[in-house]
Amino acid sequence: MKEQVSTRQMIYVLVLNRIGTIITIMSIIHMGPGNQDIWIMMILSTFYCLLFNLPFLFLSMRFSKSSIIGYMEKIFGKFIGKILGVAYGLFFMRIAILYYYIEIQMIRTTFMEELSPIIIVTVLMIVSIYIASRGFEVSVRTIEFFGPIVIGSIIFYIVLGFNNIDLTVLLPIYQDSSLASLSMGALEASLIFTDPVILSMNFPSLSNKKDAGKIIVISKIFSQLIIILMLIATQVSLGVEQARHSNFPFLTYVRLVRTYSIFERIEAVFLITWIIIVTTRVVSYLYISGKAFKEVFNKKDIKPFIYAVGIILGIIIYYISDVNPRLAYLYGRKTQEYYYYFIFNIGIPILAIITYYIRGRDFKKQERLGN
Amino acid sequence: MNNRIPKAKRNKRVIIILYLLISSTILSACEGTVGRREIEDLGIVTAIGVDYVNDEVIVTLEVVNPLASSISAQASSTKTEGQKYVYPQGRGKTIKDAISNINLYFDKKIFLSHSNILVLGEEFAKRGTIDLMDFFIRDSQPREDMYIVVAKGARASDIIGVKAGLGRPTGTYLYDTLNNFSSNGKSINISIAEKYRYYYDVSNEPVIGLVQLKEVVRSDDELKKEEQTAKVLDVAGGAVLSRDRLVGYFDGDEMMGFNFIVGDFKRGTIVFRTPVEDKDKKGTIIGADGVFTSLDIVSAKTKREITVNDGKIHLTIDVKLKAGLNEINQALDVIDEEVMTRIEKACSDKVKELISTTLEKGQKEFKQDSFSIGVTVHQQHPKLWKEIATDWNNIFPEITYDVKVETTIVKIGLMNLPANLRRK
Amino acid sequence: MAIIFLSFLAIILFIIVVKGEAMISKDIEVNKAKMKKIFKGSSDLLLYAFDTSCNTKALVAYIECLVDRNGLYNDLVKPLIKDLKSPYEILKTVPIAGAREVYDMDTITKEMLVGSAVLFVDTLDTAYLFELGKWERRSIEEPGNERVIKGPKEGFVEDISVNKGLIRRRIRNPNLVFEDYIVGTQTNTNVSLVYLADRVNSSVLDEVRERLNKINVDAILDASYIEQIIKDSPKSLIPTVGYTEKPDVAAGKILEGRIAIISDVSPMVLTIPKIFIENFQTSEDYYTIPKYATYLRTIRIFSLLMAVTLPGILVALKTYHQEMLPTSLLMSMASGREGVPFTALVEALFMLIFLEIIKESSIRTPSSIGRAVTVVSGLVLGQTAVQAGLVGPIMVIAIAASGISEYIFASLKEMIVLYRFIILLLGGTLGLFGVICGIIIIITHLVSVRSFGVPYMYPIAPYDKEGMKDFIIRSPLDKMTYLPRNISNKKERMRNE
Repeated sequence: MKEQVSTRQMIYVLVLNRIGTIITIMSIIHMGPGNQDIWIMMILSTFYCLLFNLPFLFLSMRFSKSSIIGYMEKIFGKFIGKILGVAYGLFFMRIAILYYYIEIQMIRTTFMEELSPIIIVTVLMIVSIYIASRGFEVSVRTIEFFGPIVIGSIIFYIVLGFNNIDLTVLLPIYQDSSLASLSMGALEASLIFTDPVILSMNFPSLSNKKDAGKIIVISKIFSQLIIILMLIATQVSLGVEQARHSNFPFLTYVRLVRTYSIFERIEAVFLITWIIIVTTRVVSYLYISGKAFKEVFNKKDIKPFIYAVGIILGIIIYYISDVNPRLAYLYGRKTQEYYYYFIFNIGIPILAIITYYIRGRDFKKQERLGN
Repeated sequence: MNNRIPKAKRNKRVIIILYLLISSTILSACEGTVGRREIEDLGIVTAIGVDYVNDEVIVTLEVVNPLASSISAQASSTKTEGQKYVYPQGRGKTIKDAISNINLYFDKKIFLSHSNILVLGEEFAKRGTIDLMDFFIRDSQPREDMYIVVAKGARASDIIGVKAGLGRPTGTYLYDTLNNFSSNGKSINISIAEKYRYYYDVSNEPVIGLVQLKEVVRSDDELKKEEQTAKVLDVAGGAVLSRDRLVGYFDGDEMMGFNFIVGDFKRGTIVFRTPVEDKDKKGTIIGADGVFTSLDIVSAKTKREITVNDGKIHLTIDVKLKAGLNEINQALDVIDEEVMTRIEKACSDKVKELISTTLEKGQKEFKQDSFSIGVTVHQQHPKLWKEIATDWNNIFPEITYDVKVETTIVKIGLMNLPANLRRK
Repeated sequence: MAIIFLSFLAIILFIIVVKGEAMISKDIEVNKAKMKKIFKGSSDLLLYAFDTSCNTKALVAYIECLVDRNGLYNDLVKPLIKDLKSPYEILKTVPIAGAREVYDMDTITKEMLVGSAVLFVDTLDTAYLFELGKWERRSIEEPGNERVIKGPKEGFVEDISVNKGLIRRRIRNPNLVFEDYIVGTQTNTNVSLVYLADRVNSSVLDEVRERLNKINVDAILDASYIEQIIKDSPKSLIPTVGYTEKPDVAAGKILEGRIAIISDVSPMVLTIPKIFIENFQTSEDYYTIPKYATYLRTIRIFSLLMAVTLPGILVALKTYHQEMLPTSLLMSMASGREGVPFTALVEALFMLIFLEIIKESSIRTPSSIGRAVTVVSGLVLGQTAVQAGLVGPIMVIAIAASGISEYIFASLKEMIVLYRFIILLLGGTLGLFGVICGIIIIITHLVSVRSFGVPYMYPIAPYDKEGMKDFIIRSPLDKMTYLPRNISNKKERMRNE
């Protein structure tokens, strides 16, 4: 049976993915001017995000029956296509590692302080391999189920913190920062999102392919709205500078919630929400990583690849979180990170489009022969 | 359905997964790997006191003894009332060190999450706190929303353990008293996170709450022959910090002014002398100077405006008050509009005086901006601020200001004319 | 050659013998002997020989207790003795509907077993079947499991024809189809599919037919046998086949495009496909005011959450996340736990196992001493266990609340009990982290299950706007204008069409 993903489900996948990028370490508060004008920067970055989605969208619409690996092989030929496929598979694994690493750090610092990481890694890996091996349709339904709950509870936390909120922190608006620094920050901020790859890897399973543009626009705007809300709530209750000193700013914000003497010390509840977000997020990367390898090796069954990728991930995560911790990962804003994201999100697709036009005639011939 | 795995294989896989689950569960159930802590093993801390004596940090904790303080225990046996709270003390080089040293002789694991109060000893506050306070925001157990207060003229260890109120733990007692801030305006409740928020603002010096040990004479204790004194904790006032060092105090009235300036005044009572009598005009205003009237502030709104004239910064504080009449100890005809206007004006003058006194003290005595006025300058004149930001503490004592207060009486209570005035 | 010839002969002989066994003889004595042989001389086979008015001998064979004796005598035997003119006019003489001629013993045997009487007549090599079935059955009463305050109180009984009638009376529509099957190699139970031909989803119907035909068991003693065999993912704890004892509920489900399976000798009617939200719907929801029904459904969903997760979350809070408890509750819990020898996990497990024992014993005990069991278990285990210091009082409350919530969902019993244990173990070992991992896995399992092709968590995942009208919020009847997609045959369709 072919997997079918509806428009709404895909929007939830992308929205949760984007929220998950921000909710952990909120790296955007360090970007650009790094002051109270970050929210303007985020609004700007919406346009950049939409712009950066175009190359992949173009390719997906052209080759609507294949994923990234599929059309890379068609455009660049078998050999280079396979190499790119492996590269993409590793790239997805890398993202999954980064986010699981942060998740483990966060659990170890606040939630279960003395729980040994091998158990956290084992349990998390079992959960995500289980979900991913059920197929993309099931993973997406899980995300669709949790999506409204997660978004609702984030808004709930923001509402609960009302008595810590002091909106004058945001003043003066657009005085301390220049347009140049804002737009540089917006560029940075739009590079840290890797949701275009999820959409284009799973493009063949979309039940309504004409909705692709709608999916991108709605998911971007909706997630950006929630991100800006979280950002403002964090900044105005912690203060701009204190938020930047915090490792997990939104967690610190939730720790400050103290309303009606029931909703106090609720960060464990927040961590539940947050584990759901990160798990669903990692599941999608685990799945597309397995899918990339599956397509590279031309196999039918995806499960062995998911198990393999999952186990390798588990070992690597255990290694970097307990044997050889790299706390620098927490920031995820080293220059090399941007290179990776730029190459895989924008560079290669643009290259592919150029090649596609250069080899335009071949394609027409192929299409004629193929049909 | 071709890719279905044969049943036997599936079963095997299920068994392997179950085995992994169960083994990890058992593994993690072993003590040590998960850090299980049963409730009865916890020493629930309700207040933390920190002192700095002879280059050593002294931490005093208030720990609840659950057996003695539970309701059921009180109901079942009132006689065998054990010690409800114990006050273990630890010494060490840092705060974490001192707390872990407590566990060397104290049997319950110290659990800081339920503490609402952090008391800093005066010496500790004067020494500077920032280098030792990191534990409270880095560790996940102590809460950032814990109220932080300075023990005025005392050590924290003197404060913690004072039984006042209804025999509740000092932590809860102090926490509730500080929360009354919104109904008197004479104190301030600042949490650790808020303190740091002000600390990170370069232009702003934090003002945090204080606690003071006071002895009161119990006048109604007739059964005892000797006059008894009781110790209470008084939270009126505020401790003024310069960056992280204590430089002085505001008293209760000055704190009222302070709260008006920063716009944090929620509710409170303003007591002032009634307007001087003025019989001539209508003969309705009867009364003598020197008797007090109190107004209950229902809402207060502060607006601060910065104007720059020839490079000189001028601050205008505009306070709008809504008040209810609480008591008049004088025969004043409150129905008369003119009388009301006079009362309002007298109240405004009093508030003006409160504000000016506090601002004066800030400018002359502390010579630093404790009132976030720098932030206002930043917000209203961002370009000017860029030039003067680094030099702000030198500029602040020189700025000029004027205060405008406008009071509106919105309710006069159950009575119209006071009892000492007969209705015509 | 000879061997081939001999074997050929043997085959022919064999065929003759076998055929002869299955053929009806002209001699009723032979038939009598044959009947006795088929039923192995069983004592409830009654053979009654008599002379008809046209001087031929006749033999009536039937099974005691399955046949209406009055009818047999008045409508069959009496006319034959008095009015029969020739053996060829039997069907004209006897005033019984559904009488027919049969030619082989196999049919006769089958029909006799469902309550027909057979008439053999001398000189004829055919027999006549008369449907005179009547047996003792329970009268229609209110089912104990699905009591309602408002609404019809009739319930199904253990008889398939009565049950068919109960449904037909509610849907007076020629589109209502009953499709009969005989299942069970030993018991030969009648099973009937019921559906509305213009609303049923044909792919679901084909699937059900296929699965019914595949059934290969010896006995069907209750509809739940069928449920276990035909349900998707038989290992899963999740019920993907619904059941009801009330004809109004069954009729409602059929009207939504579902298929009902009635099985003889069972008062339970299966409805397929079943989706998750049906566990929260009761027939009364549709008879009361919509807002109140919505409120009740919210309570039910909350209590499902409580039933599954409360013990696990409490243990997690007590052992790992004490900062989340209110300070005063923490103190009273700590004082309650002072002196309790077990860890919180063991304490909860202990109470949970006792809860299961109490439940099991109070169901199994005779009703006369049932009350005593309840009192003893409630008082002794609840009150004194706390006083004796075996468990803390808060734990007793949590387990009791969880146990009470469980009773709301009769159909989810298995799932709740086992998942509760799993969540409790996870909560006790890994804290809220374990609890949430368990919940994620459970939800993934729930969304991956399908009931006859329909996603189990429809209409949440996959989302459907029309389906949501009868989800937590029960819309007014006139607002629910579309049939639930996925379940009925067309994508969207007006209910009042």
